[in-house]
Amino acid sequence: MASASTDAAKVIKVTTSDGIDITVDRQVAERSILIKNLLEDLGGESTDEPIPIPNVNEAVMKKVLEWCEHHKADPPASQDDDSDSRKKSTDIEEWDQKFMQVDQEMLFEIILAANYLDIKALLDVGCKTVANMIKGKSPDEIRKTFNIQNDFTPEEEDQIRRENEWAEDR
Amino acid sequence: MAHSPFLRLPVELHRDIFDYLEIQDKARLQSTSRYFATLTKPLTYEDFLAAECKPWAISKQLYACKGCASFRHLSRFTDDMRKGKRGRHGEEANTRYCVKCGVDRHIYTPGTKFAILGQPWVVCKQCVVFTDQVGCRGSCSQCRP
Repeated sequence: MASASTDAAKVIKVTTSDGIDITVDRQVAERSILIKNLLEDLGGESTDEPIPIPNVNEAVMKKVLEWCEHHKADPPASQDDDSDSRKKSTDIEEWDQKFMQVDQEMLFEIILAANYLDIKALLDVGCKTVANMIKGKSPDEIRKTFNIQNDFTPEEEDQIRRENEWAEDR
Repeated sequence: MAHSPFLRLPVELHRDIFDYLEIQDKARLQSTSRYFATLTKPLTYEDFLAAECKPWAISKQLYACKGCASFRHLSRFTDDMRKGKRGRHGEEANTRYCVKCGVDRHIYTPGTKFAILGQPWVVCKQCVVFTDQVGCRGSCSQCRP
């Protein structure tokens, strides 16, 4: 059983996909449930060994850890927050909004990393940010924003247009 | 092929993002490509009924029609269909039909008169067209001026 031993190391190391070692406070890194579980499995031992994070490169990892650092004192998300309790509001706190002001490449890398590292709150912020980029846009504007190919046949497009006519801005 | 970081997300994250959208933005995202059109189940009548009380639908004067299972503009409903129990939040809002669905389903039988935005309309006894060109004895002005 992994009881958090009191003499557990205060800092740990992670190795990113591009082979860079990053040293980080254990408390900060444990915002990632993946890392937290890994550390618990190790039982607080051999934390000198860097933890390999093969899916996340250095630039993205640093950005993710910056978020974890800022949010290290947040209360842990309630275990089973059913979709009802985390209301579908897309409000994002100011610091997080600024944090997410990055190019799309980085934005989606952060989301993928948050998903892989199991950092629920960061994943939520990322998904909300994307939802806010979609809001109020026409289908064509959404395609342009995200480089989505319109692959409907003319007949299909005609049909979906008629079905969703009510959603067009008049 | 154009490069799209957004499309690199796994399908479950696209669904999570979809869940954050309001109904009009869901419909617009579904209208972008085949992938997004089939990402989730189609919007249901219940989705529209819940969404008609949201500020966007109110500002666009849209109401849910049970027959269409979609939004229709208020001018497509009889006044009675939008008032009282069948108004927004009304306990019988889930029995509201637009005029076309009402005629198709024989809720408005030929000869029925009703008001749309205060103007008289009729379902013509002769030609079963619904029109604001009201004639005599339950008919349109074309059939019986």
